[in-house]
Amino acid sequence: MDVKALSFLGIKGKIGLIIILFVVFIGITAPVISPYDPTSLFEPFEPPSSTHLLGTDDVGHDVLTILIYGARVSILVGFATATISTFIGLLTALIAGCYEGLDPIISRILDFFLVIPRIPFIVIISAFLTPNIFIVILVLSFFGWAKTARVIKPLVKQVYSREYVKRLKCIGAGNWYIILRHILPATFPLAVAQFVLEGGHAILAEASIGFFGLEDPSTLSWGMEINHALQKSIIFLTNIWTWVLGPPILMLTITLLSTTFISIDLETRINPRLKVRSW
Amino acid sequence: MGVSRRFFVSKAAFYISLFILSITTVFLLVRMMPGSPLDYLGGEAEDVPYILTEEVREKLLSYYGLDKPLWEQYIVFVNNLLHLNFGYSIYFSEPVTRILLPHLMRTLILITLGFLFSISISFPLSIISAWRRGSTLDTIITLLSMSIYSIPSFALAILFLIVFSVELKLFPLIGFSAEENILDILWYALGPAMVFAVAESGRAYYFMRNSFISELDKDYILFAKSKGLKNKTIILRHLLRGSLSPIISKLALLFGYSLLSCMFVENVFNYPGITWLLLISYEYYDYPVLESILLIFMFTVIVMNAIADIISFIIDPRVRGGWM
Amino acid sequence: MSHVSDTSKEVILSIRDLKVKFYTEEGEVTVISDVNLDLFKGETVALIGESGSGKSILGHTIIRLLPKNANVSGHIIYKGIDLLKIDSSLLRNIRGREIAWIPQMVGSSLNPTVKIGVQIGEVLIDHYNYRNQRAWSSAIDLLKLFEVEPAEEVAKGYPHQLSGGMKQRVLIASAIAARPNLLIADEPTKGLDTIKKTLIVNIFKKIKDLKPDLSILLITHDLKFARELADRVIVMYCGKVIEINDKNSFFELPLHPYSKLLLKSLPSKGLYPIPGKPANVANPPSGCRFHPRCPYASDICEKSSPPLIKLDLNRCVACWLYKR
Repeated sequence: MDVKALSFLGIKGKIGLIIILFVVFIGITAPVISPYDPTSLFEPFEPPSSTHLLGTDDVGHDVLTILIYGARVSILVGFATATISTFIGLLTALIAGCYEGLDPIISRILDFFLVIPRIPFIVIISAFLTPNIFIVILVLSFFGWAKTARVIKPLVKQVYSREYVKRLKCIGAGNWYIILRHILPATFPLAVAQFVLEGGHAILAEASIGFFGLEDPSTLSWGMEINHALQKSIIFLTNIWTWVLGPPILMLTITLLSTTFISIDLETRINPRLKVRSW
Repeated sequence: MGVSRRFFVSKAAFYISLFILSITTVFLLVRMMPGSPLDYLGGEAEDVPYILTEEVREKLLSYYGLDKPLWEQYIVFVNNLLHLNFGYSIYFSEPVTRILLPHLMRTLILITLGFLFSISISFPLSIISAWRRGSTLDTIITLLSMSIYSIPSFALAILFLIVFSVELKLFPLIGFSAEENILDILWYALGPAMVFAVAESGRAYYFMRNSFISELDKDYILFAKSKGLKNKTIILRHLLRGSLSPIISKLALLFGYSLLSCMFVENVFNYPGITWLLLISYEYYDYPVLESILLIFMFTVIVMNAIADIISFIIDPRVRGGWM
Repeated sequence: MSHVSDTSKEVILSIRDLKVKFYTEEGEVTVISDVNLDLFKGETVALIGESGSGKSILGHTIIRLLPKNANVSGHIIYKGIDLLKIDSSLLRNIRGREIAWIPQMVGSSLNPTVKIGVQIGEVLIDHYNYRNQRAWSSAIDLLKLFEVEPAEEVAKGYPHQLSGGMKQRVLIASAIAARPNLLIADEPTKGLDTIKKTLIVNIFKKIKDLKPDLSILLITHDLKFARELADRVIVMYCGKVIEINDKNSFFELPLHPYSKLLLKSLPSKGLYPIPGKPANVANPPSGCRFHPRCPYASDICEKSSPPLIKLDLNRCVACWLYKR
C-alpha cells in the first residue's frame, strides 16, 4: 500500500470522478450558469417549457435554478465536512496509534460516538440553533470524525510497530518527526478513501436534514426541495412530481453514486484482495 | 478461565459506562432545549397564554418536577429509569410506555420483515459473488448493489410510492389507517418493509461479500480445495462456519441501527412507528417521550454491540476456549 | 530436449515444457520455465531449492491451486490425463483422491472452527460416500497411527488446542485420508526442531507402509530430511530444474556446481556459505542463471542457458561443464 495506489483509478473511479467534478463545476459556477436568480418567483407548478427547462415548483421557483444552487450546498457541505472530519479523525488516529497510554481513553470516546444516533441528535440540535449550512457542517463533522479515526487507527498502529520505526526511535528520532514523515504518508491512501466516503455521507445527511425540513428555510438545497414537494400531495395526483420531485432526487442519487464508486475503487486498490482472487 | 472472566468484567464495565454516558447526554440535551412542553399543552401555541395563567403554569411545572434545579431533575430521572419508570407524557397525558409500545411494535415489525427480506436476498447473492469473484455475474451484482446503496432510502420510498401507489394503485397512498388485526398490521408494514429491505440489502450484500472474500483467501480454504471436497462442503462447512461469527455480529449491529435508519421510510409512508413519534414529541417538547425514544435508540445499539460480542463468544471456539 | 525415463518403472506423473507466469502490477514475471520431469510409481522424490526457486509454485501448479493471475503453459500428464486441460468436476475427483497436497502453512491450514475428526474424515465422505460414523472412525485410526493421542479426544477438539507438531500430523492425516496415489508435501519440516523432524520422517515412513505404491514429491530445502526419505533428488534454481540425480549419487557426487556448493554449506561439511545473492526470478541473470555465483563460470555460461543434459539413465544436469 503506497501513494501509487492513488495515481490511477479504475473505470468505476473514473466515472465517479467525472460525475463529481461535473457537480462541483455546476456548484461553483451556479450564479453564471443558472437561468434565473434563485429568489425570483414565477407561476407555481408550471410544466417544463422553453422558459423554464425543468418547470417551476410549489412556490414558483425555477426548478433548474434551485437544482444548480442545490449542487453548491451539497458540494460545500460534503467537502467541508469531509475535510474537517478527516483532519480531526486522522489526528486522533495518529495520537491514539502512536501514544499507547492514550489509546484506551480515545477508544472509549470513539465507541461512544458510534452509539449516538446522528439524525435525531441533529434534530434536537436544530432546536438550539437554526441549522444554516455552516451549523450543519459543524454538526456533521462533530459526528463524522470518530468513524474516520476508527478506520485509520489500526493502520497507524500497524505501521508504528514496524521494524524501521523502531530503528528510527533507536537513533533518536522524535515521535512527531516519525509520525509526520513516516506514518502520515502511509495512511494517506486510506485517508483519501475515507475522505470520499465521509463526503458522501455528509451529502446524504445534509439532504436528510433538508428532507425533514429542518434546515434554515432560506437554504436552497436538494433535500429542502424534496421536502417542499412532498408537503403537497397534489403533486402525485398529476404528473407534477416528474419535474418537481424527480430532478433533485436524481441529482442527489448520481452525486452519491459517484462518491460510492470512487470510494469503492480506492478501497479495492488499497485492499486488492477484494478485487482479484489471489489464491 | 481467569482470563475469560476478566474479559467479561471489563466488557461489562465498558457497557455500563456507555449506558451512563448515553443517559446523561440525552437528559442534558433534551432538558436544555429552548422552549417548554407547556407551550403546547392547551392545544395550538397561540391559544396557550389564554388558558395557562401564571399560577396554573407554576403548578404544572412543579407537578412534572420541572421547577427543580437541573441536577435534582437528573437524579429523579435516573431513579425513575432504574425503576423502569419512563414517566408520563406531557402532550398525550398518558404513561410513556402506553404511548411508546404500540409505535415501537410497529417499527419492530417493519424492520424485522425488512431484515428478513433483505438477508434472504443479499446472503445467497453475496456467497455467489464471493465464490465467483471477478466474474461478470459478480461485477453485475456488485455494481447493482452499490447503486442501490447510493440511493437515499427516502428516494427509494418515494419511487416505490410512485410506482406502486400512483401508477399501479396497488397500495393506498396514505400509508396508514386504524389497524384491526394482525393481517392489517402486516399489510401496512409490507410496503415500507420492502423498501427498507431493498435499501438495506445493498449494504448487507457488500459487507457480507467482503467477509466471504477474506474468508475464501484463508489457507484452510485452499487446503479444503486441494482435498477435492465438494463445493457444497467447502461453502457450508468451511466458508460459512468461519465467517458466520463476524457476519452475525455485524447483522446484529445493523439491526440495532435500523431502528433509526427506517426513519426515512416511515416518514415517506406516513407509518406511525417510533421515529414518527420522535418527530411528534420533538415538535411538542414532550420531554419524557423524547428522552425515552432517544434512549431506546442508544440502548438498542449498545445492547446489539453486547449481543454481537456474545455471539462471537458462542460461535467461535477460539474465543470460547479463552484467549490463547 | 531431454527427460528422464526408465522403462522398468511406471511413470505416474510427467511434466513437459512447463512454464508459469504471473501477471503483476509491475508486469509479467516468469517464475518457472522449461521444467521437464517424470515421477515414478512408488518413489519418493525430493525437490530441493532455496526460497524463490519456484519449487512451491511447482507443487501448487500440479494440483492447480495457483491464483488467477497465473498463466500456465505446457503439460502435466497424470495417468494419461493432462491436468492443465481438465474441467473442474474432474479436477475435484483427482484432488484429494488421486493427488493430495500438504500445505506449507501448518498453523493456518486447518479450519479453526471445525472439529479435527471432521477435517480428517471429510475427504472420505465427499470422495467415497462414507457414512459420517465410518469416516469418523477412519479419522481416529489415522490419528492413532500418527500417534496423536488421545485420538478420540483430539478428534473432538479444535486446532487451537493442538501443538505445532500435532497440527502438522493432523494436516498430513487429513491430506492422505483418501489414500491418494501421489502426495505433494510442501516443506513439511518448515519451522520444526530436530526431534519433531525425526517424528515427521517416521510419519512419512508410516504412510509408505500404509500404501507402498504411493509416490511422494517432497518439496524442501532441508537436505538432511531429503536424504532420509528420498529415492531421487531434483534441484531447482531460479525457476529451472538444474539437476536430477539418484539420492546416493547426489549426496556423494553432486553434478551441478550449485549442488556442490549447497552440500558444502551443510553444517556437517564445514558450513561454507554459497557466495553471492540468490537470483531473482523477476530479473534473472543472462545465460545460466547460476553463473554470477558459480566458481567455474566461463564466457558461454554468461551468454547462453545450458540445456538439461542427460548423462545416463538416472542423472541429468543443466551445466556447460558437462557438454563435451
